[in-house]
Amino acid sequence: MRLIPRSLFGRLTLILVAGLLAAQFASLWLHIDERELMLRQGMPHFAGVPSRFWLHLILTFTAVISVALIAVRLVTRPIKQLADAAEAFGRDLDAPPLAEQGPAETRRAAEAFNRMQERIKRLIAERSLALAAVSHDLRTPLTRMRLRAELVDDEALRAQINADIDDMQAMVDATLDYLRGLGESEDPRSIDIEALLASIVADEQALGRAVDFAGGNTAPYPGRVSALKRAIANLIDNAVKYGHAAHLSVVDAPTSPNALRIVVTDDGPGIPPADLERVVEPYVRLETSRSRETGGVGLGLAVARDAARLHGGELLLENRAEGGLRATLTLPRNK
Amino acid sequence: METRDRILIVDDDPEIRRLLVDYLAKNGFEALPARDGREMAQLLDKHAIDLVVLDLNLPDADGLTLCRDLRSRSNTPVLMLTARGEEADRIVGIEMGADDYLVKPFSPRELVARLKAILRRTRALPPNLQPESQRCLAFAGWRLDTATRALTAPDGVLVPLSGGEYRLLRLLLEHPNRVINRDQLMELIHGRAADPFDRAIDVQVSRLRQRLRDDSREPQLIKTVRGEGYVLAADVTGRASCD
Repeated sequence: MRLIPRSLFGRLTLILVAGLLAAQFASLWLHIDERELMLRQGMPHFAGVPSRFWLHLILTFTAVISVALIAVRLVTRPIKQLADAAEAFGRDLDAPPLAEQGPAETRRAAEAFNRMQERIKRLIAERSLALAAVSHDLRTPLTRMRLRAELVDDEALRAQINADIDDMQAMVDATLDYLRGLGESEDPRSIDIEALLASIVADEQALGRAVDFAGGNTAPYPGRVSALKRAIANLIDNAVKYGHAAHLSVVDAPTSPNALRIVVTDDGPGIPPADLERVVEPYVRLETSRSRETGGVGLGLAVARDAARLHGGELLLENRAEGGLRATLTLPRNK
Repeated sequence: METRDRILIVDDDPEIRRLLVDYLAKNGFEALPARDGREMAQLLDKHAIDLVVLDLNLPDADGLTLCRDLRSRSNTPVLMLTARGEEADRIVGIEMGADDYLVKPFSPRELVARLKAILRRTRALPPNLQPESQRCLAFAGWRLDTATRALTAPDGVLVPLSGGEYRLLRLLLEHPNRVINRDQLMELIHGRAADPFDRAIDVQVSRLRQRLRDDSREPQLIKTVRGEGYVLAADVTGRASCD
């Protein structure tokens, strides 16, 4: 059994209540001692503890606990604010800085936090800029290569060169997409999710890919449309690449009606259970995929996960009992 | 022998200019290269140009400004080339009057297909509606943003469209209250002739009706004209912005 509360709030309350009570009891004890002395010296009719004592006790308890609660709240509020700010910053790089006010220690913590937030923002911006510059500058030589490839008469060779250029372009695009997802601030809008999925699926089918959509009626979802589009397109890419086909469906989650679930399943071999969590990290590719002719830089799932988190949701990968992978984007309706 | 369409290529990379001129020449176009805005203006004065392929990043002037200037003087269609895939660039490009855009590195075949499509579109069926800036097309409470390709319902909900749905809707909106037959739709949207048993257009129309919440049994917006084709039964107004 644990006597010490888990939260700082509980601990401080316990300390304050115990301390104040101890002080009260001490004074009470001294008081009673005094009174007893007085009684013994001549005042008759002392029978047990007087009812005033109980009143005293209750009043003391109430006063001590309320004072303790208020005091502790005052002390822990800045810590809670700091935690909230860190949480918000984790979700959104452009979260407003913490107000630098209150007692000296709090102010210092807030200042330190804000400086850290600034530094992280600058670091990410610089890294993104550098990667974007490289990816961007690659486009001119790639354009030239595409045009030069058309000059090659050997059809097989031309096809190979074009395939190489396609791979390089896909890497450049994936990197730029990923960086854009990290930096972009798009205003949320109410979106017809069925139309969103149907439009993506129609475009994929036009490219001749094995993608189907089971339909499903859901209320409009307030979200960021290009982030969602990228996420879903990436999940489809993965399913088609590693699992031969992509099957889409959308449901309002049965357990919590306030979340939307977009599910993409495939008919492939799935992912070894040990790698399920790792594979959504950026630039992680599984050995099985690298040795196969699938290309990619390992950003697709990271982009999808980031998009889910941007909406306060998650990306979940599971192997289906009947074979193949199931990727579920859970998107809560009220964040 | 039919005359070749004359394409003006404006790009600051000499290799890309040279390669593009050769490639387009091989594909039945006459292509003229220009290095920057000044050369572009000179060539436009000297020659009759059917279409301008304009790179967004030029040394002496912003491609967007050039595009806007060109648009204020003539109806020559413009295809914008950009090295950035960002939506913002596309939006300004379309706002400045570009007819289409391609992101570098593009496939040369794709470029030729787009060039042909633009020329076909501007010749076969000149739009009824040509407001100065037609970024937003509003009809029956709906709004179509031609830059972001976002369709907004009367209740404010965003209704994403597939490429095919967008092209079909755009075409109908550019010719409101005018019957467009299935052959024209097929030709302009898919770039191929319709064979009499091809239902592709009808399938696409029915999907678009669904998106527009238009009852397919008694459509109010996209009406079927039996034996002829389809007509958009609504007035369309062009606006500068959909907000």
